[in-house]
Amino acid sequence: MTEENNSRPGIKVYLNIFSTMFVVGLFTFGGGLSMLPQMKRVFVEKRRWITEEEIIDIFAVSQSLPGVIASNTAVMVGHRIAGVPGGLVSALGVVLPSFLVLLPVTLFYRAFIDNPVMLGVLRGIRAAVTALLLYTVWGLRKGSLRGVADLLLCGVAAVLVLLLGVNPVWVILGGLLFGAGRAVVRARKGGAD
Amino acid sequence: MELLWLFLIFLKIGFFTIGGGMAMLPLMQEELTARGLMTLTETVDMVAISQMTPGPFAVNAATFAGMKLYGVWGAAAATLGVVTPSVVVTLIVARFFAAHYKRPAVSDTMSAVRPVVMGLILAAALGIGYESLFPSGAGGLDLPVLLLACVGLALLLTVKKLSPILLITVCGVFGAVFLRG
Repeated sequence: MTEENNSRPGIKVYLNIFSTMFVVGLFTFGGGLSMLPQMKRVFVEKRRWITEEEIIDIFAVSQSLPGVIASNTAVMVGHRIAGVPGGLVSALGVVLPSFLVLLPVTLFYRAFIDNPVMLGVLRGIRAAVTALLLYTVWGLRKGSLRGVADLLLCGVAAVLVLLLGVNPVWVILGGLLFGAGRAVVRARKGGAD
Repeated sequence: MELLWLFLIFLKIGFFTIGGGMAMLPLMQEELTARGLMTLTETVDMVAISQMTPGPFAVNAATFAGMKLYGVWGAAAATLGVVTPSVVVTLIVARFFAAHYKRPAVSDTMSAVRPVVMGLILAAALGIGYESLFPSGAGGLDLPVLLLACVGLALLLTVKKLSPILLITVCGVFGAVFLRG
């Protein structure tokens, strides 16, 4: 069906993409990047459908596009694994939990705001998300932080976003420009040899 | 008719913002309050609830606003509206990306973007970490949360293939019992 897949993916692949992204949607707290640990675990480590580098590249592209980052990411990953239908199924999976949870919550939301138990749950979850994101950076360091230049890029990006409040989109575009420039220089050097 | 209108408002919000949920917030608030659909207080509640509930912030907010205005169909119209631009644009980009991904120039370029994304993940971790460790600003350290985060990190580093879902669930339950506000 698509150029990048030799055979049409089976129904099981779609079901797995949907169920994985449904779980991701149900357990995402605190922005699109917190989807990464669970997606990495299932699609990279368990199923081996995509590589670690690919999933990082997918996050880079998804963050730079307009719209909801979570569904951008879902579409990119689903498309990579199972073409256009895969992308659609994946987006549906990540959006549906929000929708289903918010329908009843909206009716009774006064009971949630300032509810001490809910606030306790959120305090616990935030601690877990912090640990998960730090661990994810640690786990990805071998593939994506090779050498001093990479560490510098990583540090500059973190400082720009965290301390100077720059929109991550510009930081990624900066990285793209830098990478493209470096690629051109390298290609010229290669051509001169 | 008003459902179509709501769909179009959220389509606009979804199409004209780059940078995800929080970047959508100003436009969302303006569209909803300037048209008299919601009061300012209601949008403040919308933000609070959308941050407390799981899933993408923008989808939560759209579902909340739609549900509050026109019930379940309103929620469906708003959610569909905010997600549609993302799905359409990303599908087009994904096809293009897949066609050119294997080129040396592209992979060479992406190798510089990966450390940048690592920086963004680090920033997200430290940002969420700071928010949860110092909920009332730089003065008050939330010691139990710091300990919980450290235990979580230690578990992740020692237990092979510890499920993120399991960790989040356990920490959430722990919070419900021991970290009540």
